Amino acid sequence: MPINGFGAGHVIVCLFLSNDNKVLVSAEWAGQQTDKHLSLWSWGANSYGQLGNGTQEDVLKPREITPFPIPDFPILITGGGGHTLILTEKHQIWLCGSNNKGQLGLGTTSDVAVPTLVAKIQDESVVVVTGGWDFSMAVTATGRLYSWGSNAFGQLGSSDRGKLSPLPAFVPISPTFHVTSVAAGMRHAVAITDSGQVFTWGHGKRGQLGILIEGEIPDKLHTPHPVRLPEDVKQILTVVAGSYHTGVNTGAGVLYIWGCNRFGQTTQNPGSVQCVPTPYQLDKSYFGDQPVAKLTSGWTHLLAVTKDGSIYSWGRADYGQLGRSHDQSCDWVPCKLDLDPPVHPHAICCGSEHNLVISESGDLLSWGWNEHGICGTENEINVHVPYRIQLPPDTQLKLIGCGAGHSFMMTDYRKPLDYVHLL
Amino acid sequence: MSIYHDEIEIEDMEYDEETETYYYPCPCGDRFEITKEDLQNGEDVAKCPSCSLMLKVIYDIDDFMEGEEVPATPKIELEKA
Repeated sequence: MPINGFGAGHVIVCLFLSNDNKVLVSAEWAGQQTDKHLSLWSWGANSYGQLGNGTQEDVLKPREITPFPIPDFPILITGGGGHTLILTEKHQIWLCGSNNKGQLGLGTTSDVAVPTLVAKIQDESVVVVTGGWDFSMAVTATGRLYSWGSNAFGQLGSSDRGKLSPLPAFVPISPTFHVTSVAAGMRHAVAITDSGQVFTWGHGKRGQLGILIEGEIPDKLHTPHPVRLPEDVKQILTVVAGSYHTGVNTGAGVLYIWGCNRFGQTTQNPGSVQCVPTPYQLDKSYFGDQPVAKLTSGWTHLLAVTKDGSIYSWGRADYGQLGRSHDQSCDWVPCKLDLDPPVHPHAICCGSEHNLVISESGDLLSWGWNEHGICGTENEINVHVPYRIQLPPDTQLKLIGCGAGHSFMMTDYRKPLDYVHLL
Repeated sequence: MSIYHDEIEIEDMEYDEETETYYYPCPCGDRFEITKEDLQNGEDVAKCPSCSLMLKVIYDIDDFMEGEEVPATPKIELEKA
């Protein structure tokens, strides 16, 4: 998933530090000269150094990390509970933050407040990374799955990893399965394969594994088990995992969700259904009969973007998670966010109780729980309708990413030609 | 709205024998915590050291009384009518 301006292969890259400590990048690609002036910004909770700025102090609005902390281009930024994972264009992973269970994959259990390269999978090209509460996982270009961190609930997918494992290790699903993506929930995980199979493992007590063993919900499963979906589901595009629920978006844009329904995560009334132990197909009419293009999930709420660019939200609502006026603690009916002008998001992601969106016009929107300044508003008042975060002038938003209670963005500063002579 | 972020059964918390403390994930990335001693004293609110959220812990205080043998739950067998 290359970002604009960069492609896989054929890239000659030079990094320069300008006098204001920003990285000035010149990328010669396919015969075209492109000047990049990238900045990485973080804000929100920072108890363990997850903001990657070398401190453990909370930050109430986007603050640039200077100098640019990685000698490579981030293409995906995401987070676990108190840690951050950054995937770069060289297919390497840089991590920072909480490390009490070895979730940074460095072979240690001390927290690290600056992004640090995971050495163990350097020889493999990583294409997907995900963070659970206190564990992490990666998928390589060859379809292999790796995991590290806490294994207290079997979330590493291997029964021989003890209670924790501070170095990445291969998760054997089956030699015949080529894993294409993975998502980590609070204490469980879900992977998809190129043949449309879905596997889950880890904590299962609230039905989040979507599997019944001899008719019973398993407390936990230490190895990946297949989830049974209807036979007409041939392709899975996306997987998401919340605190106690799991969801997939099929190639046809149809959603299946299972697990805890205390806040209406599966779009069923929590007054009558608390737990949905096997995949439940969401009614397309909730989404105006439009196929779903993007699905993302917080701990207890979910967001879907339909093909026509509308954002729908449902689940827990008490901190403003749903981004629309709602006076109950949750709403189990997906409803469209009333945004003027319409947003048509380029990118969307959820933390535990907050959300970030890059709009079609390149604006950054945030809403939800805002203690620690997670929404970047410079205060800590919960944000119930999407808030437009002011970006520095002449910048283009490239990437966004969320951990549980923290946020990241990467911008590209389009400096006029006077920088070229520095090269 | 409840003043608690959530209500959680003690068995869903992670126990650290070294600190004699039970932990549960807080959405801010830190952990709700309550010590074994707190539980023995009848305290049932786990707090996050980094933020304002609180967790209500569901537990049976009899399981935490020191020096007393906790009798195993008697197995109740239902008679068929």
